[in-house]
Amino acid sequence: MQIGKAVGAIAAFAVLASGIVACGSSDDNGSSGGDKVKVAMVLPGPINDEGFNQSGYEGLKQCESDGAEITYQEKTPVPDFVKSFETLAQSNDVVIGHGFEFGEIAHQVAPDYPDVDFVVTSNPLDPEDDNVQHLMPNSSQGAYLAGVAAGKTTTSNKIGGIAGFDFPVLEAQMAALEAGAQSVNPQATVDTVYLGTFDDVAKGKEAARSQAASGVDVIYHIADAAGVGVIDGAEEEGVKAIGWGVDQSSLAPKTVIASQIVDQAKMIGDSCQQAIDGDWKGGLVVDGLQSGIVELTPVKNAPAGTQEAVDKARKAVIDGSADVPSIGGDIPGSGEGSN
Amino acid sequence: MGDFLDILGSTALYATAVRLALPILFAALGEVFAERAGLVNVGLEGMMLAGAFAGVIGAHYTGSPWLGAICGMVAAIGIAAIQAGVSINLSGDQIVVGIALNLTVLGVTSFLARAIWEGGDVPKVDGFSAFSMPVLSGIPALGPIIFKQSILIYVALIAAFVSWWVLTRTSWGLRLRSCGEDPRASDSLGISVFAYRWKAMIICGALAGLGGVFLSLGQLFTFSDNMSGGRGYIALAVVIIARWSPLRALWAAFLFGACEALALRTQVTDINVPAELMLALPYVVTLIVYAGVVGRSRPPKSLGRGYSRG
Repeated sequence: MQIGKAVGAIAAFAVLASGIVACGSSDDNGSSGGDKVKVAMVLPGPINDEGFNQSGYEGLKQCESDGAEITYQEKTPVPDFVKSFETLAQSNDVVIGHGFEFGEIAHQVAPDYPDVDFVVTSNPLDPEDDNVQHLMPNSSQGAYLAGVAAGKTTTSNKIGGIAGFDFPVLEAQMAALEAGAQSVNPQATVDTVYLGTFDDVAKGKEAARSQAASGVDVIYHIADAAGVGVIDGAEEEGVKAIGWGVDQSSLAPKTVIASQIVDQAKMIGDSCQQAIDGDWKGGLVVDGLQSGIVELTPVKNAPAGTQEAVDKARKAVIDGSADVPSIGGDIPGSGEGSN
Repeated sequence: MGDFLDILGSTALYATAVRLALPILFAALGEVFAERAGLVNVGLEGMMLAGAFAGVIGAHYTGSPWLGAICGMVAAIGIAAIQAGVSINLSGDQIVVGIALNLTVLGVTSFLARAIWEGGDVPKVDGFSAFSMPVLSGIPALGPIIFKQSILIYVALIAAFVSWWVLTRTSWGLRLRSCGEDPRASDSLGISVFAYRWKAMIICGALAGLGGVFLSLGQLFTFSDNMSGGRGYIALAVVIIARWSPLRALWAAFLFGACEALALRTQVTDINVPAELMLALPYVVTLIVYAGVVGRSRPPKSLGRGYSRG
């Protein structure tokens, strides 16, 4: 009896402790905010991953400073997506799923909650429901510029790419990276390593070191928390790195030549602002280099002429004269991609 | 094919393998003590994570990686004490307690990281950086693989040999093992089963904690959520394919690390194997090796069984 209780108590505490982190609310005065727009976000990973999830969380913080009341659920496992969406839809005005994988979930849940605005990030498809909005940063444009910087910087003509998984949106960026590199350096090639994880930092670091050992001298990553390890590994091996998501040069100031900015936060904040102003509409929103949602930070630690090449490529991408492989889907002008 | 042979011949591959193997080795050595005494310690993963976190906290506030390592070991021993108390004194289900502890530590460390640092943004700390051993690092092949690493690699190698010696060559080790085989017989000879099992679990906690410390202070110099990434569970498998021997654990952990290193490295070449298949390699090889040794392996007879007097 005593034993059962002890084990039970530990198990209960375990569930509680993991719950503390899984759910967070930054609003303390709970029920009093009656007329505030309530925004909830479901994130697949931790909010402090220096990458994709963090940028989503920052978007949510913008909603808060725009005057919304916010809640979020981080590190949500895939089987809980539907449950989380339904639960949050019952008590919120806007429910945001951070990541393309929430597209199907929103489609499943949205018809039951016609008064709730559903937002899905990084999804290139045109949503079928009126109360679903897909936000798609055209990140391939940034990857193309990163490729130009890498192509100019590499002396071995071997560029490394390290990604969490072979998701279509990541594969598209790797293809854009290679296209950008070859536009300034036809001999350059990109070898991509998939880690099978976005949060195993040690594995990210060893992947970078392995690439350096095989002759790669510029490493680009789309690996979120594991990407911190990638930059660390590049620094240790004395090769260059390109950050992703936010400006990562502070992680290794002499190693990082530039960072590909993907400002999910601004897109999310804009969507919240629309909800607050009452002019929110469903549909597909695509934005990229033109409005600064996607960008490459100023180049440093790179050969002379690199910044000029990047600036030239930026113009070419914006006016459409550069051929940027992109994920396809319903993004206007993206060719006949099937995703 | 030539590409593949080039990779197999490169010292960088094995240096990577060693770094990937070390945290697993530390944890596996600890688990050998626990299992030899009759305790299945599934809480290994939680102990590593606690060690990694407390190691960074210690190193951050004291500025010394050595004090950080001690903090990491103490935190992991704390988790081990809970595991020991419930499974030894209360004869609670060892596996249930271990899993509960793993979940608890995952939640608590992530929570504390956010409580201490805004947004969970853990700063970099001074750790055990890699350094070249004078003279020895000049040895061809072996030098760059073993003698240009963090100082913790020597701690791990010494720990493996000392563990082997203690468990197989001392009467203390013999008594500890007897508690895992037939605790009632041991008890009747005046050996305190509770005391030996407690000591085994404390040693296990200290070693698993060091495994976590290697990850945070020997490799990344910071902490990130769930940074143990399942290595504690891998260590459980390593103990089985090592047939509960500290020296064989050395090879088993290295084999796993080598497969992981190979999985990362071959993706950079023209060898067209799907990434998913390469990423599964460590697990597939572990299964194959397990199938090969399973007939010959004999776990401690009372493994996983609680003991109560009378």
